[in-house]
Amino acid sequence: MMNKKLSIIPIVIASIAIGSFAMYNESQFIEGEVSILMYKHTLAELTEKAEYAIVGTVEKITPIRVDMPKESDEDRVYTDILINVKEDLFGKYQNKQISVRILGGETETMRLDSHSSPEFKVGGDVFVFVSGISDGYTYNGHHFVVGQVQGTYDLTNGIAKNQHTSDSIQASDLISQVKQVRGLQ
Amino acid sequence: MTTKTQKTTIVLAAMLVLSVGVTMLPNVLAAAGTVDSYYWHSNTDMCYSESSLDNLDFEDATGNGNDVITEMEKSRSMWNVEMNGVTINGHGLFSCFFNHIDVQSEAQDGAGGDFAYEFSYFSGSTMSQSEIRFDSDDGWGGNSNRCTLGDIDVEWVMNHEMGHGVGIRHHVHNPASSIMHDTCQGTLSALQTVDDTTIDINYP
Repeated sequence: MMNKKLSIIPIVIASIAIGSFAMYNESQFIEGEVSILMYKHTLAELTEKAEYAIVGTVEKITPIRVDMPKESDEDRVYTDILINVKEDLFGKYQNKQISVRILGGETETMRLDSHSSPEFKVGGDVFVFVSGISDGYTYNGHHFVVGQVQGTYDLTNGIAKNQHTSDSIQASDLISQVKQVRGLQ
Repeated sequence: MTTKTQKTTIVLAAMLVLSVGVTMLPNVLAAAGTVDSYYWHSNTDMCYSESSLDNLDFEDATGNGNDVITEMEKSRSMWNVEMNGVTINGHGLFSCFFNHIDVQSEAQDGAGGDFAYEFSYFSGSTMSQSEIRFDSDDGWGGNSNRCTLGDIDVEWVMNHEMGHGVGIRHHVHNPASSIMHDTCQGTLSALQTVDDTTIDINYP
């Protein structure tokens, strides 16, 4: 009789532990949003500041949750955008693909909404001002978009639409203006 | 007397409980509101990092970020008045339980990129934590009423970021009408009509 009672104890303990762990994990989806205060850029400023001016098509979108180094800081979600490069207007970027990292995104365990970060969709044609490779903690080894939404245009049927202002311009005119600023035309 | 099998089962169960507890402990402590006490300074419910404020490269002869702290306390007073002393989750605005304000280097975008960030985290529909970050790589100035490189108005940015800290999002329309526009508008030093309206809607 005593052995039967004792045999129940570990089963109860294990059940409580497993149940608690499961409930804890289930409640651990973290939601957040980030507001970025941007410097207001003109097209000329974006053109002068950027390392590359990429025209291309989005190939792949990969979110990643990043553990921040300071314990009191919450994790962040970044998203890596792989773009098939059609052209770098500055004539400097020679690779066929470029990966840019943006702040925000959603993984299985966390979502971080960023309204100032550019939005991309697989298969979408884009024009984007891109930096050189960063060596900071969060962007280490990645490019980033200069000017956030200000530096990103969606290209559709020859029209370039800025993601910040929603202003549209003929893509050919945008390209011409950018090249003029850089003295490439 | 217990059998060998029962002893083994008890030991395994105890090990399982211990491993789960060790895994969960850091998060339990975080949820309890502990902070890195060596880093954060709490003064009358304001939570900021004194050591990091030195990195804001703000005009301060003493080099300990006092001018930035002064702007911070002015902003907090303004928001407290506007929000009629409302508390969030039972805690005062910008207390260490809820808000962290510090300066970090967001070096990837260089000078003249993104000035400041506010991260809000939610428990359900309620904001549970806010982190305000100033980018040390941008050129900060005093109350310049400008957003030009090397002379960004600290007062304006502080008011703006603290607005996010109380749950107000960017106002994306007429930039001259709100201190919550998503691009720096240094000429506005106080809340505007549309900001008051937003507060009244969010905190009736």
